Amino acid sequence: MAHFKIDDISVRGIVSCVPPNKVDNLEDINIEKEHAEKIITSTGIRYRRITEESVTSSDLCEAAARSLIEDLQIDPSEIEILIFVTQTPDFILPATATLLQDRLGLSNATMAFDINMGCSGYVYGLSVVASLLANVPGDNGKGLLLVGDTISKVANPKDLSTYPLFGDAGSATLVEKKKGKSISFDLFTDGKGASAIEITHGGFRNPYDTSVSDEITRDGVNFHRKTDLYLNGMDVFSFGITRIPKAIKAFCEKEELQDSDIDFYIFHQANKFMNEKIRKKIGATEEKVPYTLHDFANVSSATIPLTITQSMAERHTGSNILCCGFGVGLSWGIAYFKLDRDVLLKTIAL
Amino acid sequence: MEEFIEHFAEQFDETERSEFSASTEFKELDEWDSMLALTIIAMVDEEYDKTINGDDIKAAKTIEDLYKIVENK
Repeated sequence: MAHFKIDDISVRGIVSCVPPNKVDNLEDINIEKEHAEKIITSTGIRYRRITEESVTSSDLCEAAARSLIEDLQIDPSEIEILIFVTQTPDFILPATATLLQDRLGLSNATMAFDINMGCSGYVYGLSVVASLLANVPGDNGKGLLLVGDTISKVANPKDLSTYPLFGDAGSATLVEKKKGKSISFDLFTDGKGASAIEITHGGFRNPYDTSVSDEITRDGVNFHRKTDLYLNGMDVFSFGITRIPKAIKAFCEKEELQDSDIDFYIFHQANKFMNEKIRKKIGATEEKVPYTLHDFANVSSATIPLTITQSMAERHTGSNILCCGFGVGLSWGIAYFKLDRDVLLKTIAL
Repeated sequence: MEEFIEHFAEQFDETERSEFSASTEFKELDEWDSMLALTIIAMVDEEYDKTINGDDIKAAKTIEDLYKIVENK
């Protein structure tokens, strides 16, 4: 069981970045209005922010990082760790983190690498940055966690199980050493369920060839190319409503946390129907569970930072938050920490 | 079984209660769609504390088929 606590570590600031282009599901999905309304009601997703074709996840994260570094007045040379969590990198190789090190003007003494994770990626990335930082000598270590995806580029308009659900976003989180602060984690994996969310072609098991542009269907209703995202809604749903409440309850028991110790539960924004089931099963009130689904959709790995910057900037006063990411892998994880009163939280548009 | 049919029927808004019996081929009902499938998965989780997935729904033709799948979990 990957349950651990990293001491003397804190989140100093988070900036999220979304594309300005706002798409309305009511107008954009090519189906009857009544059907579209039904989808919007059950998923809770009205609008999606979609990048232009030339803009990548790394562009969104770079903009977020620049804003974060500038606002916190960080000397870029102090950043020793750069981790980029994405499933939509710029290239097959090199790792996009190396490009970001250069674009952000970080020193050559920076360790930089990518992590290929989606819905659980923010929690996983935070655990890696925090763990590495804990081993950096001295009291001033700083790590930059960049997390973002542009799933709109792999969601087929003829697939209603993905297309209306996903938007694009990037984020940047500055993690630093701070005495007396800590972050607790609990991380899980079930590769047996891997085929519930997948893009099967374009890697090295099924390399890119001319057949990948053919549209296929697995359920007779929704169509996608083999290089597009496939999502088995029923399997993901049964995974989400059973594993996630159990994981959160077990974590709270291990950490001896009561509901009153948690000011906000920041969930991966999958869809409203599933998230509400999870909320009710753990017995959390609506006030404690903010949503960004309506205006920003499911932005994959960036849902947690975006939900923090959107919903917490004005309401938190040194809040204890429990973040829970879950999905592709199947992979899920929990991070629990206190947001400092002076933490920088901001959403920008690129 | 009767209780299961009752819970099953409760998930539907438009279909008459009288339409539901053990032999009802639920995927043939006009109201059936992917959202209702999720509602049924949630109902089984809440009422019976058992986890069914997409393949289970696919494998069941009638309400009784699904009931047996749930029973054997």
